[in-house]
Amino acid sequence: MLDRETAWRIFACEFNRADLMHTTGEEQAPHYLITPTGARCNRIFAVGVITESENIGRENDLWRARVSDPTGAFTIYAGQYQPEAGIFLSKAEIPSFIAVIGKARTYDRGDGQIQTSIRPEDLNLVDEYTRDLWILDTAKKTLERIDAMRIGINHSKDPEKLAEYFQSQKITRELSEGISLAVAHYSKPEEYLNKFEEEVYRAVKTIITEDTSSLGEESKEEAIEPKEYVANVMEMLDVGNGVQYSDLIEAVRQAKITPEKLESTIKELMSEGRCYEPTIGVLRIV
Amino acid sequence: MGDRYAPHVAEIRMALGDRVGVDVILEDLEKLVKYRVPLDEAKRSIIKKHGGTDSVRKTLSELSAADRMVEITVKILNVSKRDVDVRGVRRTILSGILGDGTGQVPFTAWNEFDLEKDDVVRIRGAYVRLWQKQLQVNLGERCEITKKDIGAGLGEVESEVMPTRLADVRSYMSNLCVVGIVLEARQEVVKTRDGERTIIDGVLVDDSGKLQFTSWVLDDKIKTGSSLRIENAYARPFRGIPTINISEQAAVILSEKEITPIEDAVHCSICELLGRDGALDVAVWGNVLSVRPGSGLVMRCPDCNRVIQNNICRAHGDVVPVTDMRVKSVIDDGTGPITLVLGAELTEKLWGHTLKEAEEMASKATPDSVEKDIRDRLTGRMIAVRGNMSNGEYGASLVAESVWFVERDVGGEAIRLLEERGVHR
Repeated sequence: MLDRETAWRIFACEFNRADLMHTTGEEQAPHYLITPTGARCNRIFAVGVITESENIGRENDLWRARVSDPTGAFTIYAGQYQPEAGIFLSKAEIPSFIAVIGKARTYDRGDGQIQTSIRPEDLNLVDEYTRDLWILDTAKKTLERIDAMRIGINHSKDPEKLAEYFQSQKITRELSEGISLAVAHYSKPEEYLNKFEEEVYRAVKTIITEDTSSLGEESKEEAIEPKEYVANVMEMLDVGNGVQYSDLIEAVRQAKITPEKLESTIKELMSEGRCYEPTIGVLRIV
Repeated sequence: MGDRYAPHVAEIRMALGDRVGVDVILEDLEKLVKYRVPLDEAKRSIIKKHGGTDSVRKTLSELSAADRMVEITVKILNVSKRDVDVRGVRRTILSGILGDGTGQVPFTAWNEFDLEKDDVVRIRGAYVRLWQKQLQVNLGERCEITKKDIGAGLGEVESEVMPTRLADVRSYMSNLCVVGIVLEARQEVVKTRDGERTIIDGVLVDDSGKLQFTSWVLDDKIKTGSSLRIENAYARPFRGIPTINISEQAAVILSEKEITPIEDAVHCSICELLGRDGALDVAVWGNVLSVRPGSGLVMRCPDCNRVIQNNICRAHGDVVPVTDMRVKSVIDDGTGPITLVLGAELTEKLWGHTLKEAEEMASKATPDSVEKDIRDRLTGRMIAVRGNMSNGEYGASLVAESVWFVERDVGGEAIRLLEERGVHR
C-alpha cells in the first residue's frame, strides 16, 4: 500500500519561522519541513482568509497568494503543474475563507534566509465555521507539540529516557523524531516556545464571540486547590523514576502556580509525608 | 571479599541448582575476577563449566523479541493441546499463557511437555519470537523444564489470565482471553466441510470497544446481556475486522467483574485506528482532504456491480449499465489519513442532492460536473463518520454506517481550552 503523509495543523507564525528541511537521503524519500515545535511535516492543511492573489509568472502562469490566519499569513505558489489551483486563485474573491491542502516547500533567498510556502494540491471555498474549527484544532495540536517540545528540551541529554517517556505519553514516532531534530537545530527554544504559546492563545481568543464568553464564568468557581493539583501532577509525570523538579515547574505553570508557590507547596507535601526527594532535583509521590 | 560476591554467587547457584558448593563457586569467581574478567562473562563461564545451560535469567516483563536461551520461572495460567502440521509431519503441540507476576506472555511448546494448568515451572533454554506482532515464548527440544513447588521463587502471581481489551485484539491472536458483555447473539446454521452446523454469531462489548464473535459451540451462557469471561479463544479476520472465535477448546464463564460497556461508537483518532487490524463500530472526526477521481456518477454492471466504462463490463461484455453515485475520499484529523468511501445514500446525505438530481446535472453539463460539485461541497469540511474500519492490503479504510457534518460549540471549546491552560481572557 501507499503511505499517505499526515496533514499537519500549523499556524502561519510557526510555519514561517521554520527553516529546516529534512530527508532520510534515500532515493525518492519525502522531504520534511521541521518546524520549531517539532512538527515533521510534508503535507499541511490550513484554513484562512485569502488576502492577495496575483499572477507573477512571465512565460508560464505562476500564481502567488496569501492566506491569513490570526497569527500571520501563508504564502501559496501555484505554477504550471498546479493548473486547477491556478484557476482557483485567478477567480478567488478577496477576502474569502479558503481551505488549503498542500506540500510544505522552502526556498533559499540566497542571503541565508529561508522562505516557506505551500504548493497546493487542493484549494476550496469554505465557511467561517470551518475556519474557526481549524483555529481550535490547530491550537490544541500546537499546544500539545509545545508541551512535548519543552520536555524534549529538558531531556535532550538523555535521548533514551526521552524516547521511553514519549512512548508512554502516546506521542507519535513522527513527532518525537521531529522534536529531536528541532531541539538540535533551533536556538533559544524556550523563548520562541513562550512566544508561540502566546500567539496560540491570542488566536483562540479571536473565535470567542460575545455571547459565548459569558458561559465560562460559572466554571471559574472551581478554583484549583494547589496542593492537590501539584500532588496529582507529580504522580502523573512519574513514569517510574520520579519527576524532575524542572519539569514540575513547567507543568504547573499553566495552572498559574509560580515556582515560589510550588516550592512552598512541595515543602508542605513533604512535611505531611506525601512526597520525598530520592535524589537532588527529583521528586516522588509516596 | 566473600560478601562482595554474595549476590553473584547466589545467582550462579540459582542457575546451577545445588550441585555445586558455595566455596567452589566463590573460588572460581575470585580467580576469574583476579584475571580481570568482567563479572558477567565470569558468571557465564562458571555456569557453563559446571554443566548449566547458559540461559540468561529474565522476568517476563524483561523479555524482548530476539531473546535466545532464556531462563524463566513461571506459572502455567492456561494450556491446551493442538495437532498441527509441521513441515508435513503431524505433531501435538501445546500452547497457552505464562505468568510470573511481572507480566503474561503466550507460549508454544513444540514438544508435548508435561505441563498442566497452575504448574509452577522453571524453564531453561526457551527462546522468544514475535508472532503476529506479539511476543511469544517458544519451548523447543533443547529446553529444560523443572517443576517447582507452588510459589517457589515467584512473588505474587495472579492465577487468572489477564483479559485483552477488545480494542487491542489483533487478527491472528490465539489463547485469547476477553471479558465483555454480549450485545447481540443469534443462532445461525452454516455449511462447513463436515456438513451443517449451528453456531452463535454476535457482538461483544467492553469499555474499549466492540468486536464480533462466532461461537462454534452452543453454550446457553452466550446470550444477549450476559457478562462473560472467555478463555482460550482465538481471533481471525472477517471482512478485515478481527473476530473472536469460540471453539470447543475455549472456556466460557459467567463473569462477575464489573464491566462498563461503551455506549454508541468509541471516538478514535485516526492514528489510533491505523495501529489496529480492524475495528467494529467506531467514530472518527476528520477533514475531507481529497475527493478522489472516480467520485460522483458511476456506471455499474447489472450482473457483478463492477464500475464500468462505455457500457462494457470486463467480465460480462456489453451490458445495460445501472447508474450509481459515490464518494471516494481521504479524511485526515491531523494524526493520520484514512480512506472513506460512501455509497449513494450517504453521498446524498453529505452532498445534499439525490441520484436523480445528479443525473440531471450530468445531462445538462458534463458527467464530471457531479464529481466537481461534490469536491466543492466537501473539500476542507470537517465530517464525522461512524462505521467499521479495516486495515488491509490497500491501506486503512472506513466503511461508513452513517456520516454527518460535525457540529461543535467552537466558542465554548475555546473558553474551556483557555481555562485548562490557566489563561485569562
